Amino acid sequence: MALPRRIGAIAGQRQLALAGARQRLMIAVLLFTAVCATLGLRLVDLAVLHDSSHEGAVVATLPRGDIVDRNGVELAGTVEAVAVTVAPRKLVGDPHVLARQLAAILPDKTAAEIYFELVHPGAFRYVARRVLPVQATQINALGEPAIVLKREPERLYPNLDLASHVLGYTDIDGHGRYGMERAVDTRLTAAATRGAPVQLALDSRVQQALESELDAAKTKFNALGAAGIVMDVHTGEVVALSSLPDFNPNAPGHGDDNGRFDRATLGVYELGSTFKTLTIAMSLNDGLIKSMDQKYDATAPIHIGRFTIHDDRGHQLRKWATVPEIFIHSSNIGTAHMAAQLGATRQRAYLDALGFLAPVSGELMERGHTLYPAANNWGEVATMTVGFGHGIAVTPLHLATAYAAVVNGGIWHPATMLRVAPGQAVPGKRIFTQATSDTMRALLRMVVTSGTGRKANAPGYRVGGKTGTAEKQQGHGYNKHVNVSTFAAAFPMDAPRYVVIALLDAPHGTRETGGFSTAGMVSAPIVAKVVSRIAPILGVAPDEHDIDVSGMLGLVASAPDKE
Amino acid sequence: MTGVKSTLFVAAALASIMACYTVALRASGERAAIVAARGRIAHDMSEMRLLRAELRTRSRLPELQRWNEQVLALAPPRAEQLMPDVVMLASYAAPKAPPAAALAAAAAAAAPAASPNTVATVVRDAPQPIPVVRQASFTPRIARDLGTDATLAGGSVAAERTPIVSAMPVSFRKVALR
Repeated sequence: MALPRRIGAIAGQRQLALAGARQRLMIAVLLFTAVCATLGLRLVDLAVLHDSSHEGAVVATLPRGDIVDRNGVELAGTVEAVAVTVAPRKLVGDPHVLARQLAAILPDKTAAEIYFELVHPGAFRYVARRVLPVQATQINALGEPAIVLKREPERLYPNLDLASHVLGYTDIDGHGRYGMERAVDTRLTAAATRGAPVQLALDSRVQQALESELDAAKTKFNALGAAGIVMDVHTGEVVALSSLPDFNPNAPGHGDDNGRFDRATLGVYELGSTFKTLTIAMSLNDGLIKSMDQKYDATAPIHIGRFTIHDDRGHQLRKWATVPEIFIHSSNIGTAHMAAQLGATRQRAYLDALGFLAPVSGELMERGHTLYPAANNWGEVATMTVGFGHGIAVTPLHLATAYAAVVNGGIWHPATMLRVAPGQAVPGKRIFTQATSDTMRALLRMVVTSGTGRKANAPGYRVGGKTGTAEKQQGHGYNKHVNVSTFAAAFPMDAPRYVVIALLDAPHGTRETGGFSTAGMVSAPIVAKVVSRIAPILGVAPDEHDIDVSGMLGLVASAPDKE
Repeated sequence: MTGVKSTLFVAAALASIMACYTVALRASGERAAIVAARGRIAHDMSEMRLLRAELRTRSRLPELQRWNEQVLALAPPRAEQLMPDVVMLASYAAPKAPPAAALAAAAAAAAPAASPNTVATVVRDAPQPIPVVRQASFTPRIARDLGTDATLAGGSVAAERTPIVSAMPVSFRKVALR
């Protein structure tokens, strides 16, 4: 009985052992499967989800997007710089000695300034920012553990002063503070959009030509300042915009307020006779001028209230004059009669439609408020003076958009600093008829061929335009010896593509100009030089054929010798 | 038999684990290499941006105009200098055929075997004179300012390039802050 029982016990133990072994085997198989599955999943994860090809873009992303011109030339970009920081509590060396050593490396900082940072009770301080790599290496060699060199982005404007008022600048922390840097700050910094550069309408070559010619004229005529604009008449794109004096956006703090003041968008000026173009266009458009031989009384000065409206010396017509005569002789009296005929209501409505009664259009946030008579004070005197550009102060950019509407067929487009893709122009609003625009083009061309703007003629490029010389307001009145001289032009007049504005603030006449500082003498030559330089760049071909103004010229008794 | 099976099983399991570990290690190594490559790419891109910024700063438009005006004496083209099409440009630039009399005289003055065609070939292949941009004694103001010995003796373009490149001791950041 004992043996069978023992055999039975052994058999039971074997079965138990077998069952245990199977159980262990099953667990091992399961573990093995789990390990294999985990490894497989990890491999898939590495191979598919962590595809390195997607990470290159992340590497390239910078904290602030670039700004480029219409041809993709970089105008503002971000590069890596080095900041010198200190953890004052961890300072090991003598702060006096260290301050002297750092001051020897950083010439922009004094030892006292550096010492102040080194012994500051705070946990973290900047000693200097945007230091040069060679300086960083020297500071690193000092071996002070509390000094840490930190990489940080630096905004760089490679063309220095060029287009500084358009580009603007950022503060030390990379936030836009002026110009387009400020206007499109969100777009330049948002993670979704900063990868692509912001493309401006600006053409850096045109900008350079405009700025250099303005600067040469400003120096030559010892002017207080200058402003210039080149605008595409069909889209409102600002191809170039300059205000002088300017500043270096790489170091905006080094300039003064005068340099940072944008005369093209922030400064408002009485632009004088350039407004006569608008008054005649309004009268033509409303059918008040039925033909070019219609005559207006320019026999004698107009005495109205306590004011006297007279023509400038040398430009007195002293007769009933035709429209071309009034325009090319720049007669204040004739234009005042036209404006009076138009009336305050219609004049104001036109000026409103042309954007003169609001801050200038465009993305820039540095926009001046225009000055004009209050609606209840816009009587006959105001209507007459506004008609020839006095009593209303606007920015040169306002004038550019209005001139674009006059010459492009009558459509007003808001100004834009951003490039407009072909066919994507913002629809404008019609102000003038095509016929009005055609007539105005001929009149403007005639001013350059036979009128006060002859010095603006750039052979081959069919420039048309109008002079505007306004006495500058100083104190409670006008200074008869200080002018704001403007020339507003467009080219080529047979099919206008660009408006060019050149303004000199308080120029002085020279022997060459006979002592005159009028627009025809000082501003018109700027336009001629600018157009000669930019026309080939902008693809405007020179042509000997010109717009036919012979019919209108027949209505002019004699052309003025000078403005 | 059971012992052999178990040993084989353990060996197979170990081999599998080793294989998987090796794969994982390889993947980890590859990943580390990718991270390192990304770092290098980021560094190189930063360097490229820096170099591009330096190039743009040094070749900024106002500076190019200054060189054009003060050193190269270049001026923008006038309207009459622009050709409306390439055919007109080609006709403008085409060498005029020498008059027969002049050719005959040239042939007589030259070696007896020289034919008009040969004369034309020689003239065409002759090295063009290097355009003199300025007088030999002229030293551009920019070069003087930078304290180099750059002179434009002869005024060839190649002669100008060397001093420009060698005269760049100032960091472009300093240039940008001027």
